[in-house]
Amino acid sequence: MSTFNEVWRKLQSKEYRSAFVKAQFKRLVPFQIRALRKQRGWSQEELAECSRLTQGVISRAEDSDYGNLTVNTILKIADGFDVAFVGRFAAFSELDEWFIDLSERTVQIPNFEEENRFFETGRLFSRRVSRTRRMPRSGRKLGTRLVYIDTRRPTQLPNAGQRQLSLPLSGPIGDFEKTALKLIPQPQTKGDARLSCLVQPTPVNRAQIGGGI
Amino acid sequence: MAYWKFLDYITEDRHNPILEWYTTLETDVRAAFDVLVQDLSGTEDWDAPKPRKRKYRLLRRRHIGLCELIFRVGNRKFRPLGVLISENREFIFLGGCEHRRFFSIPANAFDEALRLKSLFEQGRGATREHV
Repeated sequence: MSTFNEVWRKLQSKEYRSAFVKAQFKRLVPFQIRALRKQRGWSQEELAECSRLTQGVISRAEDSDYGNLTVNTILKIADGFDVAFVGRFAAFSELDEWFIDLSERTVQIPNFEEENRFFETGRLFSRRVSRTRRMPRSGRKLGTRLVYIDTRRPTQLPNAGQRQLSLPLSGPIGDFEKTALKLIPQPQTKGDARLSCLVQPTPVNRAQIGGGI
Repeated sequence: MAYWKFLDYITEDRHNPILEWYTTLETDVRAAFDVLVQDLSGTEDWDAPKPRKRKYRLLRRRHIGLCELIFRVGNRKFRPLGVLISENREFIFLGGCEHRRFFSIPANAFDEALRLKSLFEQGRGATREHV
């Protein structure tokens, strides 16, 4: 399987980058539709019914070789899954998230009702903090809940760019909880240049998260 | 997080057939191939789509035992070739070709892959992780 470094090396060519983005875009949406449908245990007919489309349209939407998938269809499918669809421009450094680590296992998107249950029990927060990919200032003490983030400049380490270690979960936790509670950035193991996230099984105080930003 | 592992076959004289084929490809074909590999490695069940839409095919008759991956760039069809070991969830690349209706480019790609397969089965050569 490709690693971040290897893909990054290929991306040095502008021509490759353009072709890669095009190929990846064609793959990404069909892949997610297939994975989400599988995650929910739905057939194409069931998804078609929820999305007010036909089974044939769903079949084509799941086919990465089909080149005419429209935004309108994608939005209807998102509506059928009751999830958001966010088409956004992204930096190539986010490659890990949207290319290398992408598998049916990692596409775990809860629908609104599932998320709302967490919101009502005070366990759902904005995911904005976890998107900040910076190293914490060295020497600062990090508790399990209190997080400081140095937003001034990322620390350059000798093996910067190597893939981050995956951190173990602290206890048995469901797939959705992994997604919903992936909020608290933790300092990276020495030698890694990027910030990873640790799943916190207990809710955290929002004011404390914002402390160092 | 990958379900499947992709490996390159390295011959005894240190040739890497898939890499040699890869380097002959145009950039857009390389990108499509890389994306295909990533797609399949993250897909648990390759048989979930209808047979016509699957991204792989087990060959029969003359080239029985070989497996081809299927992707296209525009109207051109490409077939990376290898051996599928379902029990270990591994695919070992043995070469590749561009597929035309009555021939392939290179012309002997399938026969060459079959030859490499037999060497691999004899325990000659080695494998390494595909990158």
